[in-house]
Amino acid sequence: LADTTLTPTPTSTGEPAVVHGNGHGDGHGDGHAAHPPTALGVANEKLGMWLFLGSECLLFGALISTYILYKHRVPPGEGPTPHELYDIAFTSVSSFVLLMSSLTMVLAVSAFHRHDEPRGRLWLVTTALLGGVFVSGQVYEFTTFVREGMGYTTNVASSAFYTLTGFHGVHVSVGILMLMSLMLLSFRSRLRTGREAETVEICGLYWHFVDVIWILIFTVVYLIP
Amino acid sequence: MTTTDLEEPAEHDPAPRGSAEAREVEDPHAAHERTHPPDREYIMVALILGIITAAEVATYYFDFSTATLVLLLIPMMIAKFAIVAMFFMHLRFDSKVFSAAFVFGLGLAAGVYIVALSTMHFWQR
Repeated sequence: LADTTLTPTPTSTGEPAVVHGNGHGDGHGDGHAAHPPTALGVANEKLGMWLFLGSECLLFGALISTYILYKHRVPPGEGPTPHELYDIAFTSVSSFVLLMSSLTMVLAVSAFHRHDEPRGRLWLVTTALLGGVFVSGQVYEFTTFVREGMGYTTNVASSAFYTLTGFHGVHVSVGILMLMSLMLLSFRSRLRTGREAETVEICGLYWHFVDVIWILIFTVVYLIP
Repeated sequence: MTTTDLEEPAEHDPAPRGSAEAREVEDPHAAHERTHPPDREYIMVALILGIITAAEVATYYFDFSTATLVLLLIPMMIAKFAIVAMFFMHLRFDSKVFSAAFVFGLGLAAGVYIVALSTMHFWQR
């Protein structure tokens, strides 16, 4: 009997691959460190993010429902309603910017999967900048609406509108912070070797979710009268 | 049993030579290439999303009735939502467990709020 210990096979990056219970190594000698085996056979972190996003549907569902319920229930004389003030051309450009940020995010994930960190960082910065443009547009829109006499408490429709779009804006801002944190971690080499692509992918899921929620808001709130 | 036995599971792998599984054993990147489409596919998807968005915005400048607008805009919205979820969020390529987790939340939200809106006579306007 020569050597019966389950010695993890070192990867090319020097990090040992995790040996699964069946004795098979990860098989990814390219730096993709393996997950410990899980009951469902999927990464717990990623599943956690998907469950979180599933629960977020309930939050945004409540906010969208409240808006569509109240948008036509403003008594006469209670100030302008959101529909009277929308600038569809401006919001369309904002929507397009957010949509394109989803493309740059997925390109960042793709670059990190190829271990092309410089390009991945470039796409992350581009995504954060596009997100910043979107949030700036939202701040400009809110400011314009307030100047035109539609404050947060002007009527039920304005309250529902600001709450819905404000919550979405906060989500985009949190996404930008996540992207900047990823950049920082990447520069400081704090992302675990072999797992960086998955970490970026999990943050990417959040970013895309924010985008799909805006797809709903843009149609239901802005385009359908 | 030796360490070599543990390191070379491919010897016992019944995957036929030249098959997709065999190629993945030989080249670990093959699995990732299969699960993550090339960048040009993402760009094509973004182009399609851009075209749908342009069509959505165009409806605003025509004098459609509300019913027509709803019939035009809701399918476009659902298509955009599904395209982003399937391609950009990788639901099409990833484990069905993730799809189940997300669709459950989405379905629950849709069900709960359709009922809530119904109790408030939203559809009777």
